Amino acid sequence: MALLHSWVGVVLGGVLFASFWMGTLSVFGREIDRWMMPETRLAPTPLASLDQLLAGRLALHRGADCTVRLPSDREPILVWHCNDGEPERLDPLTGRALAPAQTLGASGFIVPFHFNLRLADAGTWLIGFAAMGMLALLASGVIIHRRIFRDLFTFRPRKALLRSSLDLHAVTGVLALPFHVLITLSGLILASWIYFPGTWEHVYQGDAGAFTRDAFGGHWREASEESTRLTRLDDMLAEADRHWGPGSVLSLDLRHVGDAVGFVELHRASPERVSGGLERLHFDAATGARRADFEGRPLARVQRFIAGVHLLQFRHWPLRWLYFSCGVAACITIVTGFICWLEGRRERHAPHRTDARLVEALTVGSVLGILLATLAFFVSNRLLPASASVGAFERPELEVAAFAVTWLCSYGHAACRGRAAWERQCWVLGALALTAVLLNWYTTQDYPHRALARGSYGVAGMDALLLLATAVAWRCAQHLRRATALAITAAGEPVALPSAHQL
Amino acid sequence: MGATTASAPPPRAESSMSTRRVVLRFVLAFVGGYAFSAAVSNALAVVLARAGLEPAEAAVLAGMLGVLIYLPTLLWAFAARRPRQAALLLLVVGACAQLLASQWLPEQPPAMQVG
Repeated sequence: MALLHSWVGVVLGGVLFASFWMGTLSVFGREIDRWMMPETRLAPTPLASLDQLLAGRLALHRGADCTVRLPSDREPILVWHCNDGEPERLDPLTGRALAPAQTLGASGFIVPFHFNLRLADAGTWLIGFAAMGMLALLASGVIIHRRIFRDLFTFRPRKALLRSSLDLHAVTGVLALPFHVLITLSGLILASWIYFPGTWEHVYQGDAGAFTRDAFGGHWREASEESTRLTRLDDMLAEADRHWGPGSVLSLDLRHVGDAVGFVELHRASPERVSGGLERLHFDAATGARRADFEGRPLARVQRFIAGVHLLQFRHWPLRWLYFSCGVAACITIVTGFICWLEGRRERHAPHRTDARLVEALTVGSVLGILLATLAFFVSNRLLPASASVGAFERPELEVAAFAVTWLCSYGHAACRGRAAWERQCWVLGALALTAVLLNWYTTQDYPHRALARGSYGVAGMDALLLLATAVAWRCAQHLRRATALAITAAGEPVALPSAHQL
Repeated sequence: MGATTASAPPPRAESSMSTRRVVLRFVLAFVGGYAFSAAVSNALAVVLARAGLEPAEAAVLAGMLGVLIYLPTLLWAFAARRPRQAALLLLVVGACAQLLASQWLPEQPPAMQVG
């Protein structure tokens, strides 16, 4: 079991850290979107009339399939998208179209990175195996630390690095163990029909459409060529309010806009429940008549509940912050696991052996590197104007390039500098986080008091967390610098980090 | 075939197996375990559908169970004292399950939802 734990940890630790880091950020993905897309920092307003906002616009998209996402308190804009055009963001109060965001934001970059490393199918499968590896790590970790209760209350920060890392690893791993298990398992089950496609392929003879329609709802009929007047959406919203309760509609799917057999499906938002995404109301577009509703069969509802535990679409701020804290704990578990492994190797081999140096460089790059890259992503968003472009690359691509280049530089720096890279990159981390906050204040004038007064709590929260990150990063860098300085003065030459109790 | 041979450094608790053996264990556990749990979940889906559960429900349940089967299989394959035996067991049972799933399809393909 110890063998399983260390091998799986070393091989998959980098991928797992990336997924858990991006997942932790995704908890506040909507808030990060507001931070990265300042034009969407609007005060939440109730939607007056959907027809007023959309009628003129839909007329330009006859025959297309459109999706409309209604504003919510975390996303105070209306987003709509037809399959023959680009997504558009509207101010729900005035109906004015907002300027194109020109950024992927959290929902376009951070969240997909979390479940497929932005590598499409290959990434999805890699994350899937990594998630299964995480479950194996949790199981083997528990088996190894059988004396959980004794270990739980032992945290010796002043002892040697190996000892204190091991303690922190066990504490964060065990205290948040229910979270680690739930989030990993729910993530796998959420996508179980992707990872185990044989189940529905055998039963449905490969007809994916039939399976998703039967299990998760959805309706389809072919378009006729007759056109009709555009549908009245407000009446459908009113009916949904009567049926589900006020303000329960998450989004609308309009199929075959303006066609005689066009139809509209309303999806239910369930901010007060864990599961969601299953209930639909189905309306005929031409007549506005309500047809069959979809509620989902029991087992599909179970699957959606488990998915809901992972997707966090419910409104419960204490729980959301708990998820975030546990996510941070998971990241700490992974980092301290790496440090344990590195320090353990260091004690057995000479500290200058190539494979130890290689793994150390990989660790720094996989941990500090992705943190630096994320901050570079934020900084470049605020630094570059929305219209920035270099050749064929516009701002969204440039932001991703900043992310990738920073990550690679972190690996390169760690390969050259070895042990000192930890401290140096911590200084840079703090500097980047501070820069991001200052750039936000400079480019949007959303100083904390102003953001809070306007109700942009998400933006203020993001700035606060960035400042906290600066403080933590610089504190760590200071600590590392003192430790190295002491080692140099004590031995007359740089050596491996001494026991911290010498400080 | 006797005890596992240690690599050149003296056997330590953390690597009482050589690197090659660990890699093979990895493959057995992750790849073999996946193939096995996929095959078993396929068979489960078909059996449940034939037993009367709605086809979509059968597929959803079998998918969830596939995930739950994979973990213990992975742990067992990695920790098994005789990996060759473990591999053979996974292969044989998995192949039978897959055969069952592919040969014993439900009588009629499920009808699409009609509007």
